[in-house]
This record gives sequence, C-alpha cells and structure tokens, in this order.
Amino acid sequence: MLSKRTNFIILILFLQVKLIFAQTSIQGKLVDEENTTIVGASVLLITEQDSAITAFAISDSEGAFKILIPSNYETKDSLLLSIRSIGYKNWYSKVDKIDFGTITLASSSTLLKEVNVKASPINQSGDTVIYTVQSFAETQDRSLDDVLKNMPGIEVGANGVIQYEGQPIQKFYIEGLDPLEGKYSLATKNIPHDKVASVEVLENHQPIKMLDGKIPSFLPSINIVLKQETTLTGVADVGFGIPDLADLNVSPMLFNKKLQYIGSVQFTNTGKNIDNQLNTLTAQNIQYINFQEKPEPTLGFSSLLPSYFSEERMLFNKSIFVSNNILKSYKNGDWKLQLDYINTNNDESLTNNYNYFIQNDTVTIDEKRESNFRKLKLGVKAVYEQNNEKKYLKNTLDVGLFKNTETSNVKRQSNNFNQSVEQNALQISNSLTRNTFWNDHLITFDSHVLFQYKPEQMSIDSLQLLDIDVELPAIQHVDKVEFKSNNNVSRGSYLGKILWQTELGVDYNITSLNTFLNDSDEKEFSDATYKNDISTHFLQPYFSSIFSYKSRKLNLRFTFPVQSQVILMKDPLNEIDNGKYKIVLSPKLQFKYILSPFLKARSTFSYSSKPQIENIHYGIILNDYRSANSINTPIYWSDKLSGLASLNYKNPVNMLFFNLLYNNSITKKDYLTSSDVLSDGSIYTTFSKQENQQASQQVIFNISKSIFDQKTKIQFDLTNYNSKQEILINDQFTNVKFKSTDIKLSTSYRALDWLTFKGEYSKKWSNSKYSSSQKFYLDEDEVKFDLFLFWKRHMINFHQHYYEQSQTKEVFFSDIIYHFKLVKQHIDIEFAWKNIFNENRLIYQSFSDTYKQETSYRLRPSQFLISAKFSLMGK
Amino acid sequence: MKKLLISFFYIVFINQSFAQNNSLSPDYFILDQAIAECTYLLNYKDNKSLDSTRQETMILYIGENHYSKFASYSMYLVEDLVNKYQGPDNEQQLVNEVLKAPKPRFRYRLYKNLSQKTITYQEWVGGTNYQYEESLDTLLTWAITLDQKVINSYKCQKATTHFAGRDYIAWFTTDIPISEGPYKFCGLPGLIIQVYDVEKDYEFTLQNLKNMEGNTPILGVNKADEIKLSKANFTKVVENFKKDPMQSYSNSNMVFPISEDQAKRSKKRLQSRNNPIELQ
Repeated sequence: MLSKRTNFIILILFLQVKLIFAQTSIQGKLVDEENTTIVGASVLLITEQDSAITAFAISDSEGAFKILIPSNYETKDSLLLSIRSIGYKNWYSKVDKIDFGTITLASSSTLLKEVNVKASPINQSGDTVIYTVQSFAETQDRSLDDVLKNMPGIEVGANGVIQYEGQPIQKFYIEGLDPLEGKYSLATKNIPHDKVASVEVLENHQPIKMLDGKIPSFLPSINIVLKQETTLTGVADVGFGIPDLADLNVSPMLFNKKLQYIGSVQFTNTGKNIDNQLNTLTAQNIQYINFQEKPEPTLGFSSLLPSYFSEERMLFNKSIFVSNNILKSYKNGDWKLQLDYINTNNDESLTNNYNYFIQNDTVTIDEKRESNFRKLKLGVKAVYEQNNEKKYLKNTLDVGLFKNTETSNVKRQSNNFNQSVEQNALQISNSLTRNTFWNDHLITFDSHVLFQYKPEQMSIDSLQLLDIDVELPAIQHVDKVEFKSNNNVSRGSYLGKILWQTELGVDYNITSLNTFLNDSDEKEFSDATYKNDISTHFLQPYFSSIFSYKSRKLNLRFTFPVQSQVILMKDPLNEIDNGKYKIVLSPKLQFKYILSPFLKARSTFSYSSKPQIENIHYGIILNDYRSANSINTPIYWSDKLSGLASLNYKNPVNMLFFNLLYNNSITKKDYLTSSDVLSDGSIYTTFSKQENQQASQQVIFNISKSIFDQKTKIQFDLTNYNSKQEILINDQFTNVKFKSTDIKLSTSYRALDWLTFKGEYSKKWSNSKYSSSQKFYLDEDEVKFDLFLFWKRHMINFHQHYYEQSQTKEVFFSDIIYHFKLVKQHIDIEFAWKNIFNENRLIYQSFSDTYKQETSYRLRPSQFLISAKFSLMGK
Repeated sequence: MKKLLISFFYIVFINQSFAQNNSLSPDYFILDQAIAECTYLLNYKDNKSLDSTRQETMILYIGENHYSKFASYSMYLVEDLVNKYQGPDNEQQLVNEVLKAPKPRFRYRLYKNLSQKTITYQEWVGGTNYQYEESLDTLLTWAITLDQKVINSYKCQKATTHFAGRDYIAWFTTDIPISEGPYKFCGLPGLIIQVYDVEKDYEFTLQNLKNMEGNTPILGVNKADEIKLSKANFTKVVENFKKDPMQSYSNSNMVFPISEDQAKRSKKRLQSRNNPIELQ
C-alpha cells in the first residue's frame, strides 16, 4: 500500500518527467546518398491530424538539426517529423525517438512550383478577395458600376443589387466607412472608376467589430479602396434632346478618413430609371419588422412594367431627386445624416388581354389602359454608430413622408372607367442596438420600433362588378395604422469553442384597419359588407438559444427560438372578437464549410410558423374597377420548411468562379385563395377552408471566367425553377404546375486596341399546367450585341437588341452612341440616338396562377440626346 | 560633359577599367549558380507624410551553394549593361544605355549565405561603397501561427517576427523548401511568399518564380575602394549623407561638379524619404 505521501511524490516525479520531456529536443544529421551533408533543409515537426507546423529547424553547415518540442505537445505520438530539401525526396517519420542519428535523403529532380503573376488582377488575402479596378476597366466604362460588371464572381442586377457567389452583399463600404447605409447604387453609379484603386470583397465580414471572430457572418460585404485617401470627385452631366428630352445629374462627393459626403441632384425624362439609385439594397428584417418597407398601395393598379425587359425602352417618366448623405467620424463614433427627396411621374399606356383558366370555360377580357403614377417621398435618416472592439452602439432614426397617386382610364369595348387613387403615408422608425462585454459575457440589447400611418382612397366612376350594387361614383377608403416593436436582450458566453447566447425578447404589434365605401355625396354605405374596423394585437414573448461556432474551416450558427404568440382581433362591425394563443418553434441552422482554399459549401435549413393575420378583413374592399376581395379567414398559422445548399468555387489565380445552388421550400396553409371570375371579367376573391401546400424548388448555376490578357469575361447562367400549388377558381380545384428554365451566355471580347465586341444571348422556356387539361408553353429569345470602336479620343458604340416571344411579333432595337473627350476642358461629349428604327409596340405574354396575360406596351419613340459630362474637381 | 547628366549612382559602374568582351568586368566575380529566380513586388511608403504607395520590382536569386542575392531589378539591369559594354570603346554606349535604364529607388545588394549564416549588405552612399555584415543566428526570431492562406496559388502559413523597429507578418510555403525570402527575411522552413510590416509601409509579394536552368551566375561585387564597417556605423553614414550630401561627396574619392541648386534638390529628395524599412 502506498501512502498518500508516496502518491504525492510520484505525482511530483511524474510532473517533473513531463517537464523534462517538454524541454526535450529532437536532433539528427542529414546526408545524401553520397554521404555529403545537406545544408539548409527544412526540418518540420508537424501534427499528424492536420499537418500544421508546430516547430521547425533548418539544417546547418554540418547538416545537423535540433528541434525543441513545444511544451503543449507533450504527447509526441501525435507528431511527425518531416524533412524537405530542394533536390531531395520528402522524408517523414513518427517521432519515436529523440536522436535520429544520420538520416539519408534520396535525391530527386523535382522542380520548384513556378508561378507568374501578371499585375495580379485578383488577389486573395485571408477572407478578402481584392479586385484591381484598373485591370477590369474597359475603355467605354465610366462609372464604378460599369467595371463591377466586368469582374468575374461579381454580378450586378438590373436593380443595382451586387451579388458575390450568388449572394447579395450585406454592407457597402467606402474606405471602410458606410455613409450610404445600403443605398449603394448612388455610389456605384456616380463614382468615376478611375478614382477607385480596388474593390475588396470581404467574404465573411462581421460588421460589428466586437463580434468579429465570435459570431460568424454568412453574407459577403464590399469595400471600395480609393486611389487617394482624400478624394474630391463626382460628375456633372447635362443633356438635351428630341423629342423634348432633358437629363441632368450633378453629384459632388468628398471622401476622407473623417468626413464623407455624397450629394446628388438628378432630373430626367429620357426613360432612364434614376430613382432606383435611392433604393436600399441591403435587406434588414428584424422579426416581424421590415425596415425598408415602402408603403405600397393596396388600392388601384400597380405598374405593369416588366422588370425582365429593358425598362429604359418603355418608361415614360419625369423624375427628379435630391439626395444628401453625410458621414462625420469622431473619436468615439460616426454620425450619419441622409436627406432624400424623390418626385417621379410615370405614364403607362397599354392594352391587356387576360385569359382566365376556368375548367370547361374561358373568360377573356380586353382592356386598354392609360395610367399615370406619381410618387413623392421626403425622407430623413439620422444614424449614430460606435463600433469598436469593446463596444457597439448604433441608433437609426428614419422618418419618411410619402404621397402617391394613380389616375387611370380604362376602355373596354364601349365602356369607360375612370379610377383615381391617392395614398399618403407617414413612417417613423427607430432602431437601437447596443453590445458590450461584461465580465467576459457578451451582452446585447436591441430595441426596434416602427410606426406607419397610411390613409388611402380610391374613387371609381363606374364599376364592373355585377354582384356589387353601389351608387356611383364610389369612393373606397382604407386607413391603416401600424405599430411594430421588437425588444430583446441577450447574454453570451463560451462553452469551450462554442459561443452560446440566450436571448429574451418580446414583439408587440398593433394594427388597425378601417375601411368604408362612400358615394359621391360622401355618404357612407351603411351596409357592413363594405366596412371594416379591425384592430389586431400581436404579442410574442420569446426565448431563444443561439449557438455559434467558428473555426478556420467551419462557420456554424444554430438558432432555436421558442415563441409564445398571443393574438387578439376585434372588429365590432363584423362581430368579430377573436383570441388565439400558440407556442411556436422556429429553428434555423446555417453553416459554411471550407473544403479547400478554392471550394466551399454552405447550407441553411429552417422551419418557421407564422400567423396569417396581416391582411385579414371581413368586409369587402374594392381593389380596382373590376375586382374586390375580402380575406375572410380566421386567425391561422402557415408553416414553412425550407432548405438551401450551395457550392462555391473561386480561383482568383486563373479567375474562374462558379456557383451551384439548390433551394427548396414547402409552405402549408389551412386556407386557400378562392376566386370567382364572372363572365364580364369581374373578380371577387375570398378564402376557403382547405388544407393546401405550395412547393417550389430552384437550381441556379453560374460560371464566369476572365481571360485577362484579352480583357474578356465569359459568363454562363442557368436557372431552373418549378413550383406546384392548388387554387380554387369558380369553386373548382385546380393544380397549377409551373416550370421555367433560363439560360444566358454573355461575353465581351477586346479584339484589338480599337475594337471591342460585347454579346449576350438569353433564352427562356416556361410552361404552366392547369389540371390535366390545359397546358401553355412560352419561349423567349433575346440577343444583345455591342460593337465599340475607339479612335484617339473618340468612341462609337453600335448597340443592337433583339427580342422575340413565341407567337408574337419580334422587336428590334438599334442605337448609336458617339462619344468624344475634350481633354483640355475635361469634358466628355456624347451623342446618343436610340431606337433608330422607331419600334413602337412590344407584346409580352406571361402566366399567373389564374390567367394568361398578353400585354401590349407603348415603347419610347426614336430619341436623340446630346450630353456633356464634366468631371467635378480634377481629371 | 554628358557625364554630368548621369545621376550620382551610375558613375561607379562606368568609372572602371574594362576587360574583354564576353567575360565579366573585373569588379564582378561568380559567387554561385542560381537555381531559382524569385521576383517580388515591393509596395512601400518611404514618405510618411504622403499617402501614396510606391512600387519597385525586386529580385532574389537563390544559388545552389546556399548563397542568395537580393536587389532591385534596375540594379541587375545596370550590372548587365556594365558587363555587356566593357572597354573604353564602349564607354559612350554604356553611358547612353545606363541613362535609358530605369533608376532604382533602392541601391543596395544583399547577399545571404545560409551555410555560414551571414548577411552581407552593400550600398553606395555619397560616392563611397560601404559594406557591413550581420549574423543570421540572432537577426530574426520567428513565431509560427496556424493561420493559412493561398497567395498566388501557393499554400502559405503565417509567421510573425519583430525586426528593426517593426512588427512583421510573413507568409511562407513549405512547398518550396528553401529557407529564403526577400530583403533580410529568411529562416523559415520554406520560401517567404509575402512579408509586410503591420503598418503595411513595406510589403514584399512574390510575383514570379522561375526555375533556372543552365548557368545563370549570381554575381558578387569586389571593389577596391569598399569600406567595411559595422551596421551601427553604416547607419551613421546614411544619416550624415542625408544631412549634408555635398559633404559626403567631397569626402569621397570621386570628383564631379554639382551646382548649388542640384545639391539642394538632392538634399530635399533624400529628406523626404523619412520612413526607411529599418527604423532601428
């Protein structure tokens, strides 16, 4: 029996042995097959697991080496000794002894891995991919936006959204600062590209500095590095043309470390969509609050301009905006102030042909519509942000005033319908986030509130609704007041390498919807059928556990909220007094795994259950001259299960990028949309109790490659989408299946110093199947071709654009742009003649779940514009 | 009079006795045969008050007998010219060619010997050739971290060190088992692909690596007038030169006239370079 004392001594001895071992070194001597010493060989002690280097030595002039085993690797079993020297084969051994004596290396004649980086257009440094702007700029490019489109791996959508590896960016920084808060189109469209040195894609950027390396981020961000730290720049562009065209853009900008200013005054009636420059392109949704919410009208027609086709060809607009964005950086934090004024006035003229799918019958409507849409917005946003390694504080106050109007005239056969809608809205939101460390715990606090007041009214001089008997002209009123809030506090601490956050929060929303129908004498219809006075309270306390793990290869985040939802709904007019309670789980798992420096996989799975209360109203609301609806469901929940998996490959060295993405979602609902389509084309929409399911899946593949010497980018995109859902139309169930496949191939080729080609071909196949009886096919073809000729300071661009849909007439656009530089005066002059052949109609077909639509749009006539562009401050 | 146009630096290469063609000028000797040529792009800010970054292409030749040579690409160009246009008949041609060649901003040659663990530093300052030696044993102490990244297609691992008043981050690859790197950086178990100080005032990145076949000699320089001194004394020489370039030239054994104006400009230019790579 050993005494306690002996035990203790043994323990001490054992510890000492360990200590001695910790100071042990491994030694040996290197010679070749002819017994000559090998000098300068790398002797590495690597871990067996991931071959990371833990210690090393270089063999000396005697060929000898000596490596100290690092104290944290006492278990030498897990270590390997690896010897590498140029001209010899690599040598490995387990560390089973301390003295290796003389080691003989076998000679080999392998060459060193060569590399040749030519001005390196794309570089990677850790999680940052750096694109040199100069390398991708083409002679015809002006703004940063033009050059971004040439960069492989980066895509810029028609709406200005920048995507990297198929994901929209989360933040857009200029020299590390974010003056625009998501309105980055204003910068990309107006900063001359020659002021920008490089574009950095921050792949896993965590915008909150104190969370960097702790909470993984799954979205990329972009940072613009300017050539000079202090840059005074911008553009001034004035243009005039026929018929009665004017175009103005004055955008001064200043960037330095402490102060950034981006201002812009723009006016146009040339068809160019300028107001989308002020759209917030980064999404920010917190629980049930969507902070970028633009109050869209519930009444009247919405603009039917297709987003897939060059908007510039068919937008009859008069737009003006003034935007001022300033960021001032102080020692403690940044202040941002944004002021926006937008006023747009768009005319739309089209003829519509609708074909409703009703079993054993079809209802066809022909209407000719002239509409005018006006939108006015005044917005002020003030932000204070303190972002450092120890603390994060951000408060955003956003106030918006909106005034939208629509006036439409519809002609159907001999009938005339006039409809006018007026929508005013006031929106105030405030968002506060504060994070700190307290005793090694991460404490976060968020408070978000949004208030919206939205009165709307629509007057209609005659109605095409057979079942509705009202005196005309009728005036539909809809007043909606919403208050939404989310407050939460969380505490995080580490469980080993996992950050575990527990969050306690509460959502509280109140919505009140008040609608009624007046006749021309402002007399209300007493009939409750056309009235709503609903107030809805939604209270959701929740408790959430969030697990985050970040290692060199794996980023993982698992969110598990337990939500208890209480809903109270009252409508005394329709005798509704409803209350519901439910406990809901909405787990979400996100991960990203780096398979190799070039290849990574990411995936997201989520399940959510949301109450469908937003739009419930029992009284009938008129939507337009021939449709009305009531969302007459009780309070119910819809469940959604969705999954996404993607594979991203990027090789900055040979500039090859590709993404493969698959996503699938299934939504289950208890109620089904039920439409009654009458023979005169009037539609009345309600809901019926019927369990139903909507499923959709999507496969997206895109590949892009730059062949740098030729300044050529080749890109191929493929999207396959299919969906399945059930609808109820005139009391008959129909299964609707929709399938579509899009392909697009685009390339630019710089053939000679004075000659560049650009081409784009896209094709889309889609079909829609209603039950088993009706099936519709649609094919679309689109070709765009550009030829650029350069001579000294002159450029001529021939642009050809061809578009055809099966069974309709094709359109062919031809444009010529001539551009030259007055070098001394720093002025660019441009002559643009667009739509030379004066194409005046585009017929476009599309499907929805209940009808097939054929719309004939009026196109902008042939137009000629002369413009002069001045560079503000400097060359 | 054309000689006057030549910037101070080049004179040293021309003011020599010349030997036969196809052989080396007597000031040069073959130190080693190169097995690899590594081209590094140096991004640097040598003037702290300006925000502009300058670039210079630097080349490291690695020899089979553990010698290496590191200098500006333009320095090698001038060496080639000097060896090509030898003899008094070619003097005029040499002057013309040298004037056409790009001017190096860094005028040192750096020799490392991994076997003897020494660094030999040569620079021409104010008309005189100076040389000092340092021991590699004590110069750099590296700490290896587990961070990895791919730079120009090499899988690299991160190491850090403190050297001459700056903290450096180096990325090396074990795929190239040569314990070499740009400037004085070496001693890692693989070639340094990228090294920069944390302020990014000096950043070397490998742009090109070529295996050298046949005989590409690494040239050593032997000058009769060379002054060997300690590193500390060399630093003093440089400081004195910056303070008063004219004095340095008049102390040297070279005689050529410089106007007052030229001297002022020279001084101003030298003093604008206030952020040398070695701060201590």
